[in-house]
Amino acid sequence: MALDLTKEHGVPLEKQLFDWHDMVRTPISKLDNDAFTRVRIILMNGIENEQFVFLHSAARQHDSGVRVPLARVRRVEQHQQTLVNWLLPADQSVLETTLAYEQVAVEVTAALAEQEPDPYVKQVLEFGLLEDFDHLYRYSALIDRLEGKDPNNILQSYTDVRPGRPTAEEHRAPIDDVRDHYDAKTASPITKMNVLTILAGEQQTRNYYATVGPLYADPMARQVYAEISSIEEQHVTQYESLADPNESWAEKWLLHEANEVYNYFTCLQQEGDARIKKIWERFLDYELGHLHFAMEHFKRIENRDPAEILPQTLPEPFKYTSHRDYVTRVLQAQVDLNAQGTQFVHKSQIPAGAESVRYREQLNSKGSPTETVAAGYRWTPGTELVDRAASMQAGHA
Amino acid sequence: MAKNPTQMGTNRTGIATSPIDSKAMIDSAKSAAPTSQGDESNFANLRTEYINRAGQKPVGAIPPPTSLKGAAQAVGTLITGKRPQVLIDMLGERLAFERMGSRIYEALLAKMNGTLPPGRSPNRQEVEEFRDQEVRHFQLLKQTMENMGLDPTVETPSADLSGVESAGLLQVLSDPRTNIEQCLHALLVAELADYDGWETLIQLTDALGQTGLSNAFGEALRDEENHLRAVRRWYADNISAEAGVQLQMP
Ligand SMILES: [Fe+2]
Ligand SMILES: [Fe+2]
Ligand SMILES: [Fe+2]
Ligand SMILES: [Fe+2]
Ligand SMILES: [Fe+2]
Repeated sequence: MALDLTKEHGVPLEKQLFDWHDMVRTPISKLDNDAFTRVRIILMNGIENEQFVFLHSAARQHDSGVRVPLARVRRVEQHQQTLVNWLLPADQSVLETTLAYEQVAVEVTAALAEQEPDPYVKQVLEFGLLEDFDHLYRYSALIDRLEGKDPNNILQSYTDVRPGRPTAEEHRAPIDDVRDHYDAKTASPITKMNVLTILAGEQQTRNYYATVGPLYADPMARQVYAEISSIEEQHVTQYESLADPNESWAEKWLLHEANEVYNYFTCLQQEGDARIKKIWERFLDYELGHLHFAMEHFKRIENRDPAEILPQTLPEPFKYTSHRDYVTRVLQAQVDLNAQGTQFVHKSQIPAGAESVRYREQLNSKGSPTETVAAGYRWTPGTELVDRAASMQAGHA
Repeated sequence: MAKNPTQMGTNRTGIATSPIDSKAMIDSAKSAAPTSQGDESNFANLRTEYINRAGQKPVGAIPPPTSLKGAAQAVGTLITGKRPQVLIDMLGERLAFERMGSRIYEALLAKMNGTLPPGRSPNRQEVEEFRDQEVRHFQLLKQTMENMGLDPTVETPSADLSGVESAGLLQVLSDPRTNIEQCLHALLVAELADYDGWETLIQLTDALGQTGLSNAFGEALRDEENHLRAVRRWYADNISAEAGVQLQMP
């Protein structure tokens, strides 16, 4: 079922009200809820945070009578973000939440890549996918070896834990992280949504690691967060460069609100927790309100019909489900790719003295934390101590 | 002295650091009135409200046995009428705690590398032995759960909460700046809980008529008794050496 943007007006901005009890709710259960409910909560937090960043940036650069209207929308985005992010429970440690972030990165990137019609954008998504897939493996080794915890208590067997493109090889000079952008006039709506969605997810991941990295006392943990945070900055650079910079800011505003509508709609279609589903439904209506509010301003600012930018109906929802087979196929075919400018080539084709090679040699000159943490690591149900205990027992017998 | 000993020096956290500023600050705080009436009970009321809030759910649930064969059936019939979920939850807690415990001992071993003066306890061999015992206890619990038809990879609610409880201990042990006495204090907290954890589990299995289990666990309890005694001694030794006195621990 597709959503008709012209017919659905949602809830008007002035009726989008909150109080602190409403915003601070009972969180989900880390143990009992389906991992994809957590995945949706984390991605939607990222979507709301992208609104915050985008609308602030717009307000700093444009007047045309929109500074107060932008502040009004932004205030609602702020409170949506709070309500959504506060659904995460406090017994979910920083490192466990980190595993969940990488699960978001793997499963959502794969879902978007799978439905992406533009072959170049699809390739970029698949390229990034294998990098976040590797991060999941590195953080799994960290939680296993630091805390003696099984990463699969978070992943619930939906997402594999094994090396992807090794993080140590992901470090690239900026020149190899900026991609070609889509053409706003010819790109399909789903491409524009996909780019905004992945950008939101990666940006919050970069911000999260950059904030929580120093919360750990262990130098191994501090180094791993430092290294992976740097790759997430590369991912933000990569994904934001896919969007056409020739889109006007008001056009980008429309696309942002439309993407929020699309994402809440996507969550609503697939949510199994009735309590959380009501939140997605309510915020879908709020976002429709934002979209129509933005459409009115767009008409005034640009003297154009929003229909030039927006499709009448939103694309089909992407799938919140395990993409094990898809990821495995991409891994087999593309793990040895690396970037050269805006293109992807087999790593053997990159000359020894290339800027990215020198960049990475410098960063890794005293060792790569993600290599150290996962030295000899293989995930086993119940942590790698299961293997150690078994070999101790065999040694005793 | 050990690495990073407790030292005299500048610590700016107390008001005595700035007598003039602190006096001004005290005067300022006294001259301002609170904007709302009441006391800490308002805070407590909010907690109560959330505890009783509609839709409030527990941290998590206990999954039932995944197979109903052999020992699982025996457990089912033996403890009919009682609430087996309490035992399952506690087995899960012990399992998670032991796994984390072996990682705690690894952090201690790393800390000891080069930071311990000659002759100072603990000795490496003893710590390695304790680490391995925690791994064996983990293995014992894993096999016990499997024999009962339970999934040993489940994180039960008490297992989850023991992770929350231990997070601070790991932070102390894994911080490069902490010294050996500070780490041993954290380890002591862990071993106190470890010892009582096994004792409670044995009493529970006894009370449920699972004498086979309580016998198997008895050996682990004896190890834990030994851990606790040793960690107390190490801690006292190090405090004594650093303070230049002689402490006797129980
Ligand atoms: Fe929003
Ligand atoms: Fe990542
Ligand atoms: Fe990423
Ligand atoms: Fe919005
Ligand atoms: Fe112990």
